[in-house]
Amino acid sequence: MAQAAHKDRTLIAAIGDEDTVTGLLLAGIGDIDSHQRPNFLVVDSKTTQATIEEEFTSFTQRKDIAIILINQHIADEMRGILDEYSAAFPTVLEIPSKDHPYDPSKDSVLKRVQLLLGD
Amino acid sequence: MSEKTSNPASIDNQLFELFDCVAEYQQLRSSSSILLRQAFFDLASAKRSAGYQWISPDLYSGRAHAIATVSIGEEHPIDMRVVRNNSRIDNGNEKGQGSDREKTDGGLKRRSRRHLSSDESEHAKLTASGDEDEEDLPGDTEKPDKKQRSVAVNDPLLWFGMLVPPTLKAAQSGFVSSLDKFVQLAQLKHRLVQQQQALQEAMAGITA
Repeated sequence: MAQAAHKDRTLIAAIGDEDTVTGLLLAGIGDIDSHQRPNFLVVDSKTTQATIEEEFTSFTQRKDIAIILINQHIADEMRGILDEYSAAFPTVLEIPSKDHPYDPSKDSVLKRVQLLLGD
Repeated sequence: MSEKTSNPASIDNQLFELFDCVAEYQQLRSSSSILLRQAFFDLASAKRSAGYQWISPDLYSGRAHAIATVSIGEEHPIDMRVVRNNSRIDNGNEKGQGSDREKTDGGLKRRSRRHLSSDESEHAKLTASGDEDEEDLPGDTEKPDKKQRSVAVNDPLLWFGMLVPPTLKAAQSGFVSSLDKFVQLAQLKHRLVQQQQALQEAMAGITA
């Protein structure tokens, strides 16, 4: 039953800066559904944190999204919400951006492993 | 599962599996970061050569449909794969050495078909529009042509113009490869979470 529900999840959503989203759209993830809802959000200096959080929450509630890719520096701004999020699907994956390279010390996956091992 | 994991030896095995998984995760992270860095560089070069206003969010298509999707395996919940509906993007690098002749042949074929179809459309304009015999004639040759055209229209590269800089194509190829890595990472994340949960249960079983 649960697997059948996962089968409908085919889209990859993205929350990121202009270059990240443009690149991912070039890779073919962009989708605008019949309700005119895009599966991506371009975050710039004018985007408020409330908008990002709202969009993230709406992505997590959609039944057609399998993976949410989010820039690590944007994820840092909503760390509380991400830490609380524990659902298997959609899977949230933090990715680096052009100006903010990947920082392993902020990686939530590695943090959990460290916590488990008591480091 | 709990009986099996209560054994300290099996906990050791689980721990080793977890470490292997973490090592694989870190390796994938570094390789995806390298790919992504190159893709960002290519995108920046493309923006510089095409002009910053020509590669911007304003040009995203309002009717985009995902051509890169994820398929989640039925048997194993953490088996995820990228599925591409666009053969052009799937092949990514169109720089194959042996394909030059095929490309030129295909181009000539396309040109002749286009020429043929334009002649036919002109002819159709001149004659009555209700002629079914006329429509039946090009039927077999038109279908693959239409298919080819729809595949090309799906390519997000075309949002930014018909003649895009080669660096934008390189950036697209880089992001396609990065996307594959991201899906692998997401799959690995699932595996890591499952292994962590199993290990926590086993450790709880020992302490109890």
